[in-house]
Amino acid sequence: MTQIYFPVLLDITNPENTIQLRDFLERFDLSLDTIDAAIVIKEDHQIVASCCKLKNVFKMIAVDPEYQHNNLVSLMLNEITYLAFEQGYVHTFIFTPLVSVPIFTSLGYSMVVATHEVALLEKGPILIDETIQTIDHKYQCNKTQNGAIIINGNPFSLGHLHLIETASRQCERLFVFVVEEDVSFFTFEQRFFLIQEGVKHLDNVVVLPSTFYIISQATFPNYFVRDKEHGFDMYATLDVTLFGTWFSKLNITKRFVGEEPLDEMTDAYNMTMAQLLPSYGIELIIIERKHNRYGVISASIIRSLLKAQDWKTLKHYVPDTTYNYLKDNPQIIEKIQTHHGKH
Amino acid sequence: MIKQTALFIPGNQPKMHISADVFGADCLIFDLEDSVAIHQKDSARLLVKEMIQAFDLSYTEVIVRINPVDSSFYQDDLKEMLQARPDALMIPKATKAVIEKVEADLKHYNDIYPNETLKLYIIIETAMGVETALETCLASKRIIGVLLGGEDLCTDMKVTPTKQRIELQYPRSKIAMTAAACNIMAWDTPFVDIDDHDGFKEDALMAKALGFGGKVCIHPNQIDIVKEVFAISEKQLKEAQEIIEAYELAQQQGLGAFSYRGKMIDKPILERAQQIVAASSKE
Amino acid sequence: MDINKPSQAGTLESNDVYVQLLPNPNGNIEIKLKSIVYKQFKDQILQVANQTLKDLQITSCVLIMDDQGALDHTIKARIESAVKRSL
Repeated sequence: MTQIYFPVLLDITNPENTIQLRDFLERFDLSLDTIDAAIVIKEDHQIVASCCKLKNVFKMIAVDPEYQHNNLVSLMLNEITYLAFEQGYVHTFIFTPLVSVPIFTSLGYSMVVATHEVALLEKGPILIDETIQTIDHKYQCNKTQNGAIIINGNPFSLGHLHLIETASRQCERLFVFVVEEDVSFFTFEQRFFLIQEGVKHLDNVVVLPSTFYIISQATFPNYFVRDKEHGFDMYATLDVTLFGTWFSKLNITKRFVGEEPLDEMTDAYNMTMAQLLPSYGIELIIIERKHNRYGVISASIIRSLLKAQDWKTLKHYVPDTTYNYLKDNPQIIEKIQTHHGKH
Repeated sequence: MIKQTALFIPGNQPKMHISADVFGADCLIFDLEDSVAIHQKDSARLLVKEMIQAFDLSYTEVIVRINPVDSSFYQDDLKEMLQARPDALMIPKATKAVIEKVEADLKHYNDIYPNETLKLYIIIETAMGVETALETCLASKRIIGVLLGGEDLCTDMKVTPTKQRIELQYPRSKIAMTAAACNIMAWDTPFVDIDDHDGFKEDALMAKALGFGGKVCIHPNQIDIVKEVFAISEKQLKEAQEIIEAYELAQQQGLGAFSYRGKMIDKPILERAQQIVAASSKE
Repeated sequence: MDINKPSQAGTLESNDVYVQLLPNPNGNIEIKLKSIVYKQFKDQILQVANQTLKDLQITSCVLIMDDQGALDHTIKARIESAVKRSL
């Protein structure tokens, strides 16, 4: 046997380890982003190779130049793929500087999208082209002029309703993509249900899960982390390029967003979209937020009202469908009393 | 069969398995122990079993290094390998007690998995193992060879390995001598610096001088060097051919015993001569 | 026998196959194969996979295979390993 290397799981709760990892990554101009696991290969207690992940996105993959012909990337990918599978992920992504793309394509990963700096690759039973094709076939997308709006809906409010109604009047058919990632107070099932109920009266609106590829950890880790330091522009550009490249195949020519007076990060993201989407034949349309008598309708205000059980005021914030659901599900009130978190 | 080269093949790497035949080693040691990560040992043993069963490996001696007898992997290793039927098992950290246990287990399984022809190689890799090597080598008739495990031995002795391998002088001599006393083969310990070809050659020459029959390789590029070092010389070949001629002449004349250059030639010497001639005619 | 617990075996190395075994709500055997030699060997790989599952008496599972040119015996060994790990 030639030198056998055994990758190990780094204990990232130990600050000494994270410092060592951070120092190693700095040599490759990679910064230590949010991760939930790190696989490393060590020689004489020094890290010579690393491969990290957050949920099903693998990133910060680097190998010391002296060790580059030892197949270490493959060894580490094995371990981290095993770990991801144990956590329930069958579909995995790699986020990488462009220069390393050939290494991963030779290990069976396919390209999703690339900007001039970074690329997103994937592996799994159903890839992006099949995902888009499935939607296309089901909804015969080329038959209508389509618009898209992405809603988290935590919970579905009069503000969201206003956005959707306004958008639905500006295209033949509107796809409402509901953010699938479950990092909000209301679960994906709850949010999806409330949106569907809330737009039943609109004939040309189709409510769909967002897929892995829209506002997910893969494409936009910052959205969930709310920390602007780590290459915001890079992620935003990647995310928008992905949407433009692939979702335009659904004959989407308009993307709708609400204006963002309260959230700096979402606002900056909207600016990136306005710049880049036109080159994919997609117009960005910013819709003015609906106000009620108290001011802007925001999901966080709604959650505070719920916490305070102020049903009277709440009526001015949510449509009847949402109101009735909340009334009928007291366990939500219980849960919100103990909840902390911006989303 | 003349055995001079043995190559360790990591048990969980199919890529290494299927190219094993091109390396030209006399023996292949499929390894389930140190080259396999703990959480992959279950997969590795199934892979090795399927490999051995699927391929015609008659050009080489097929050996499987199983996990130590006191490990949680040993029983499953044994059961799967008894189905695989390699030529031999290689037992790490061998002592008399270890070999007696293996013998007992093999006997126990013989009804379901006939294994009377299964041979054993033992690895001596602890200080106590070295000191008690003779009784270990005599502990079973299946033992056909003993391998010195230098790296683990150094760890056990808590000594830092030197380049000239001074710390292995006594163990090497002891193992070579013990093997000779028991009429089994002695394999010298692996050389881990696979890029140092000159150092490896020196190491192989030392092994030969000490009486080892061959060297275990951990990388295919070591094989040719071992072959070169242990090559049968012209003189040896000529002598072997003459011994066989003398034997055939004696047979024709109806003589049982015969002599060559004034010495009686007994069975082991004759067999060795036959092996040498057979091996050289293969090249 | 149904597969009830997800399991995996094999590696991404060349000549190996990485397999993932999952429960199948449809109650039958579904194989998703990705291979670097898909065109030439798809039928043979599927045949070996199906036979191995049959020999192990598995009647329901989703088997995802990521093949880097594994020979039949490797496919068999890796599937067998995943099945054993699932039990």
